[in-house]
Amino acid sequence: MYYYFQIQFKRLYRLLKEEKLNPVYTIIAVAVFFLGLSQALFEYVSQAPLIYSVLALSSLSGLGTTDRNEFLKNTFTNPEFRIIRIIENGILVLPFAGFLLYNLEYVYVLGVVVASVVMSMSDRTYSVVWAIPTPFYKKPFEFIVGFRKSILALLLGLGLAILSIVVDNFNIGIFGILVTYFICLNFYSYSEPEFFVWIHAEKPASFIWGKIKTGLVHGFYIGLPLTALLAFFYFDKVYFILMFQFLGMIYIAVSTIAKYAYYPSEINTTQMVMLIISMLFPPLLIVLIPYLFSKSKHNLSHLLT
Amino acid sequence: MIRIKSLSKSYGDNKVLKEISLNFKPGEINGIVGENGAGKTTLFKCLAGLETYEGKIEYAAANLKDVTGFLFTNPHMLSRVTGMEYLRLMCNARHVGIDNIEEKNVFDLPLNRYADAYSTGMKKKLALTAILIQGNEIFILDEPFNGVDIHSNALILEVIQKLKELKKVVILSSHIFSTLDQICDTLHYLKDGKIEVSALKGEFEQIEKKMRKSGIGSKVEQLNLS
Repeated sequence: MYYYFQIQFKRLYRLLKEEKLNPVYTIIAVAVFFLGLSQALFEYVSQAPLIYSVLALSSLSGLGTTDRNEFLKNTFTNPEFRIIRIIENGILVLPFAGFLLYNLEYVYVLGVVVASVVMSMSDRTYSVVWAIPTPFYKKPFEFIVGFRKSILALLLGLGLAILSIVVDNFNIGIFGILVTYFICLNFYSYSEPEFFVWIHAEKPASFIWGKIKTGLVHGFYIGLPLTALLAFFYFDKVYFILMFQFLGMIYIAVSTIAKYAYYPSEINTTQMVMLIISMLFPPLLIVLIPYLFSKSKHNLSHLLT
Repeated sequence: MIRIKSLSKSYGDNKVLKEISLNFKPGEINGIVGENGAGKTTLFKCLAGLETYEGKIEYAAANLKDVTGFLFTNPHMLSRVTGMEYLRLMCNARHVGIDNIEEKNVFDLPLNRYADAYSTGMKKKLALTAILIQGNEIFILDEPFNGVDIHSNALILEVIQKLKELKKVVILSSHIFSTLDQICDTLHYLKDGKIEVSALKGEFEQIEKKMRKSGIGSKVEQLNLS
């Protein structure tokens, strides 16, 4: 078991080295970024402890996948498997629990810790025998796959919008929109096998345009329940709500282009940083979008002619 | 000896395995055949303790899972982990000595390369090497010949024969009937989650005939190929 954690540490170190990042500086930067965001959330959002706890627990979702659980269960004895799951969940929720503790939110600390242990007991090695229906069936595949994989997280976004109405806090609703679109951006982090691009009888430019159009339409659908709900209850702030939806859709389009600009590699950390900077300073998109589009076109030219 | 008694498995309303009863003896090679989706992998997962089930699986000597090596159809490899590290991890997890691993690299795999970058066949060979080094008593091999080159195929056949000599329990699935015919002592035909026929060596022909009957030839016209 000790060797397993040694291996995990090595994997992280190798990932950072591949991205040409200094492990020490990266860890410091991530810690500072995490603390900054946490502080901002607690300062500006009234239901921050609740949202923060949900974020903490949703960060664990990647650790409980069927493949991973089967691998661990098949490799280790049952008690060791449980211990590994508890430790891994613990490592992930520890920073969140620490920050909640710093803010004297003892009930939430207890809730997060207990829930993370309970989640480590859930195997999720079941096979889903029915497909979750999606409104995106005619246009594969990012939104269909992403929607099914992230349905609980997407419901969280909707839940935040409802919560904002219940507690009459508009900021939570906007945060819900941001969470929803952030989840959608993640749909584009996976690079499909080259075969699934090659099969399209299209030129690179029309393929990318098609993808952008699909992304925009689906992005609109996915944000619609939240924006409609918020617009109904906060009609005086409808422009503000629409602006966030518009921004969310724009970033979906940017993610699409960025994905194919580096395809078949997945978007790496440096490119991710570039996208994050553009989120903090949206006018940068005027330069970024044409640059990424041209790069994508060139990048796909050997697969689509 | 492993005794499976009235084993059933459901996913919601979908009953994948229905009242399966089988015995697997040490020193015997047991084949499981069936169409895709018949329930072979689910049965294997139940045996390996990866799935919950109704019914009983009895094994006298020890905790079944701790002495079982399960070769998946597509073995899961952690990213950024070399073949050598994978083998060490698998040995370490079973508290098995990890000396001279290089000597046991019978498939000549490039152990210093990342295992997730291996081809399908190489991943399978690495995973098989791991469960062999672990010194298991029971070997569950889910389509061990799938995606593997001819030379390695022959080597896997040899390994399976050796396991038989060593009185290990071997349970495997394959779609290559000729191979099963060559090595298996017993063959079980799984259809729609039930054992349709079980046969001893020399009687496998009846299973092959039954399987051929459920072909898809008549449906080709539906494709309207031109």
